[in-house]
Amino acid sequence: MPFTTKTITSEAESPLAYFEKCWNSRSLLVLMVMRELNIKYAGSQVGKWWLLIYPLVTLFIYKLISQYVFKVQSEGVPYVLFALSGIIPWMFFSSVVANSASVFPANRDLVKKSYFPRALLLIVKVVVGVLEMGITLLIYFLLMLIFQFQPTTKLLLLPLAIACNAIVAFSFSLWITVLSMRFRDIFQAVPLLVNLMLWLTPVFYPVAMIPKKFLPLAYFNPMTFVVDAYRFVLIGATFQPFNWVISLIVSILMFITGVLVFIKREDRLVENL
Amino acid sequence: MDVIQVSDISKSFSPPGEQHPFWALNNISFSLKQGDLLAIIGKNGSGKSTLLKILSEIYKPTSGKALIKGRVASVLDFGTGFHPDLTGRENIFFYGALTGFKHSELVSKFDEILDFSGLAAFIDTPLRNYSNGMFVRLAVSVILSLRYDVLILDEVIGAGDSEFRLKMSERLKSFSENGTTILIASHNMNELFNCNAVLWLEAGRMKRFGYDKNTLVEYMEETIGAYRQNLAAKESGNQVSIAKMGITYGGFKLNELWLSDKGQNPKSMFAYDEDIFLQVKATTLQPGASFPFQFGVFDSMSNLLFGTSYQLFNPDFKTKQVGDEISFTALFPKSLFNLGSYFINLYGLHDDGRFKDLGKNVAAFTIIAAEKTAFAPRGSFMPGVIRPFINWQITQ
Repeated sequence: MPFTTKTITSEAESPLAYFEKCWNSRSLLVLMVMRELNIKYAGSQVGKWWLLIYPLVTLFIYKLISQYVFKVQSEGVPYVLFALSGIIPWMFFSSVVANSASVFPANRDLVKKSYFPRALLLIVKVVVGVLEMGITLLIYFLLMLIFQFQPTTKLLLLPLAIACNAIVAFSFSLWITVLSMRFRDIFQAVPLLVNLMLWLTPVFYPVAMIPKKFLPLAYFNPMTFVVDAYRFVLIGATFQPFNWVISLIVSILMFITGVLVFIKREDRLVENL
Repeated sequence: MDVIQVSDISKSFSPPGEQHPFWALNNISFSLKQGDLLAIIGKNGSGKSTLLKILSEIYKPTSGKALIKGRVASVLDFGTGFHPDLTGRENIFFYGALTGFKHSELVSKFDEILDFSGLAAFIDTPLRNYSNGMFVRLAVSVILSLRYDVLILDEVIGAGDSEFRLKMSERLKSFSENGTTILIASHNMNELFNCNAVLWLEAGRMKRFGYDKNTLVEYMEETIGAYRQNLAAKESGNQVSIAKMGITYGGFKLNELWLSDKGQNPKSMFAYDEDIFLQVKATTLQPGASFPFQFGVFDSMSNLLFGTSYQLFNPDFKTKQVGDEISFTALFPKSLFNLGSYFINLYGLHDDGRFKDLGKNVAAFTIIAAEKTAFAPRGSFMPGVIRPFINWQITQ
């Protein structure tokens, strides 16, 4: 077997070398994903049903609110389809982000006793999130049939929307993981902040309902752009790309800086665990 | 060809909130050739694990550089990444991938892993139903069935039953014969006897590195010996190895217990060719009692070597009257113990044959190399718990 030489120094790898390492570990990634799914769902009776129970219950509550408390204009689409098109990307986002501060502590043994590109742990959460979202999307298509809703060709852009969603969620989890090393309060703060962010994101209401003075806030929120993108491809809602330039730039910046900071801090994360 | 080249590696830790960094390693440099088996020794906290973690890429060095050629597997713990909810099979594949093996390689090695572990019947059972021993067997089987260029082991080879340990030690030997470079950190000298190079770390610095096994003996004499003596001295008050016991048991009050030379002078370091005397002073509390104390002699890894008691030597012994102070002296023959350190536990013998623990580590001693004898000259390393003087003869 040819010898490949490994050089160990104090310097962090270049993002390109790091990416190559992640790519070479793809079979480990597949196993980590299977393992995560196995542990989460195998052997538990209710486990797999939570995937359905959570969005359906949430949906039911907001259906009631929207019907009896305040009127939401759902752009001429059945409210169920409208709200779900926001709930689905949001659920994915929050499932990745809400627990990202505890990903390293939960895998303490693994990272302290073996080496693999640590970003895999966060990528696993994203991949599992996408797979789980696949199931809720199937339900969504079923509901489309029930409501006799005719999807447009825009639906073909769904993978692009999912990719944006995944990158935003991944960027947040990178930053939260890095920050959790310095600020222990992050463990408590993140679930609260995710909850707050939900209300700054047009999940249950359309962007058009946001008052003018709060619009800048929405423009900076990367999830606003993601949710709007889903609405665009799923129910053909209006989408003005120009409105979301800032949101998009914020997402891209968060992603690039997140990756760089994570690679630089990866070893310190493990040391201080 | 140098497979591993470590140049000037230092490592400091600065946990958040700490003012001053802690230097775990200072300027470590050494290199190893293909097939070398390096023993890394040193006290707890000397930097062994930190060094192995740097070579395993888990930690990054603060300065310095290391070059490693080929595929590295590091086993810093048994069953890293094993999950109790997954089956033996699933865990094998996960562990293999974690070590950097392709799925196809694992598939082709699977039967060998299964064979080595002897766990074929349980391979599709979740790990939580495994006994501790089975868990270890599975973990070790994966490690030792695959092939690496460099294998890093931290304090793990001592696990499992003795049969399995032997299997492991044979496998490691054949690994290094087939060109795998192995680095082992351990406290158990008997597990390091296959090594050809030794790296001795002390407080993060290199005390010694070289292709000289005798370093192991020096290390044992200095480090473990000093530790045991300190412990014995602490437990026995101020004087080395004299224990003021005051233990009352079975019609006796134990007054004093110590190890000595011929002249009853307390001593804890003996040359290989020197007799060791165990001195016991006790007062009788009742007439007609037999000697109730038993002594267990252990090596530094807490293996019991043997037990001994005056009553076994002289079964008819009975005390005559109350208040007598009797001195018992036991002679442990010279040229019996291997170089290293030993300690003695004290037990009381019940009438029904059971033992009662009366004191742990009541005395300790270290055997150092003899000056004169050809059999155990200074620094000659020989594996094994005991090292009896064996008489060899030749006829031509």
